[in-house]
Parts: sequence; C-alpha cells; structure tokens
Amino acid sequence: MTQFEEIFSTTHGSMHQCSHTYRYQLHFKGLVYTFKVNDFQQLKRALDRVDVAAMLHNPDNSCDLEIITPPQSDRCYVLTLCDIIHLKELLAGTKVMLSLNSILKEKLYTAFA
Amino acid sequence: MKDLVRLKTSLKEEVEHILNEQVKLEALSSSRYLAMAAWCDRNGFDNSANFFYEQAEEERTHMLKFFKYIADMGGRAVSPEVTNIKLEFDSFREIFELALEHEVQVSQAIHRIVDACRKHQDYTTENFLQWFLTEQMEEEYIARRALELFDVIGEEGVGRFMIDQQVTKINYEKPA
Ligand SMILES: [Fe+2]
Ligand SMILES: [Fe+2]
Repeated sequence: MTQFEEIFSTTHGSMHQCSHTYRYQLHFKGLVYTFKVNDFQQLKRALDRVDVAAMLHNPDNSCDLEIITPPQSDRCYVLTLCDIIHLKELLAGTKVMLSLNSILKEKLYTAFA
Repeated sequence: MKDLVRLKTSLKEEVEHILNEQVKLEALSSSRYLAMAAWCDRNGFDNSANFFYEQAEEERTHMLKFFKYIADMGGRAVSPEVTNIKLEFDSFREIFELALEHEVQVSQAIHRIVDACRKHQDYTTENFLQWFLTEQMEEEYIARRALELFDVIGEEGVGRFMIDQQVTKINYEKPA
C-alpha cells in the first residue's frame, strides 16, 4: 500500500512522502520520480553544486542547460536556468519541512509519550 | 508524518559531513607518513623508516574506525581521495617537524568535530570521539619527543645515527 503525503509544494512542483514504503516522491516538470530516503541528500547536493550565477554570466549556449541524473534512476532531468532555480527552491523547502517534522516529532510525541 | 531521515540514520547531515572530512584527513595522514617512511628508507634512516611505516598503518586504522562508525550509524561513508602528497624533504629534521605539525592539525580537527557534536546534541558521536582525544595525546607526545631528540642529541657527528636509534624507543606511558 502506498499513500503519499505532501511535504512541500510550490507552484512549480511538489514533494511527497510515503511512510509505508519509506520513499519520497518528486513531482516536477510533469515527471514523477520516486526515491529512497538517502537519495534525497544526494539529489539536493547535486542541485546545490549547480552554480546559477555562473550559468547566467556564461554566454555559451551549452551553459543554458544542466543535466541532472537523480541517484538510482535511469532517467535524467534536462533543466533550464529557471527549472534549476525552481527545483532548488522546492528541495530547500522540503528540507526545512523535514527538519520541522523532526523537531515536532521529537518535542511533541517523544517527549510526552 | 514519520521522520524517515531519523529512522534511516542517527547522524545529522552536518555531523556526517565533518566525520567524512576526518576520514579524508586520516587517509591523508597515512599517505603522508608513508611518504616519510620512503624518504627515510632512501636516506639510510632504517629505524625511522619503520617508525613511519607503523604510523602510516595506524592512521589507516583510524580512518577505518571513522569510516565504519559512519556506516554503522546509517550514514554515507565516503571513500577518500588523497592527492598532493609531499614526497621530498629538505632534511631528516624537517620530517619530524612536519609530523608534529600534522598531529596538532589532527587534534584540532577532532576538537572541531566535538564542537559540531555539541551544537547538534549528538552525544553518541561525542562519546565515540573520546577514544580519539586520548589517542591524540599519545600521538602528539610521540611526535614532540621525536623532534626533541634533535636538540637533546644534536645532529653533528653520529648525531643523526643516534637519533635514528632512539626514535623507535619513544614510549608513551598512559596515565593510570
Ligand atoms: Fe590519526
Ligand atoms: Fe596520528
């Protein structure tokens, strides 16, 4: 049984969690990518490594696109500068919500259990 | 909502990162000592060569200790890449100066991990680091004593030969 709860969303995409299968799911650019917990960090790091300022300032056409291969996936994202900014925002927001969830879980549920 | 990250690993991302940095530093230590061993071998300092071969081996066990800890805690242990190892040295003495400086650098790095542990309330990792804090007392002691031999014995005449004789006899007596 898979049941996804939303962790965070923007107008450009959303991130979900399935607490039964211990998976996250990214909805972005019409693609649905389901992945393991560990791979979130790696995906975020891959995005963090993309230097938006450098892309902006480089007139070379090859610098207008960035290809991101998500961990343990046979597909890849071909991302424009705007996509990169949107996805960075989505992942950063997800990270904050996950941290908040951690804090709430520890403070509310564990402390008063 | 289940806290999947916490279920997967008990290491905070920042602590995992700094532990992986330490894996790199211990690997670097091992390679540096190996280079020193080779230099000593080339220049006829037989005992010192053995001393550094042993140090190199020991640093590898330190690296593995950190590596396995990260993996055991559910983290992502990263196999380190080691580059830019200094292979040539100006003098026998320089090697021991560098060895001491390096051990101080390692002690400071471990202190910074303890800082990070306290910041993130990671008491388990802080406890794990206790062993390394004690180990560094010994490592610094030995490196310092070795360097002091250059002043105590002096390098003139058979001095360097004598220093090479004494190096492997340095012994740190652990406080009771
Ligand atoms: Fe070490
Ligand atoms: Fe050491």
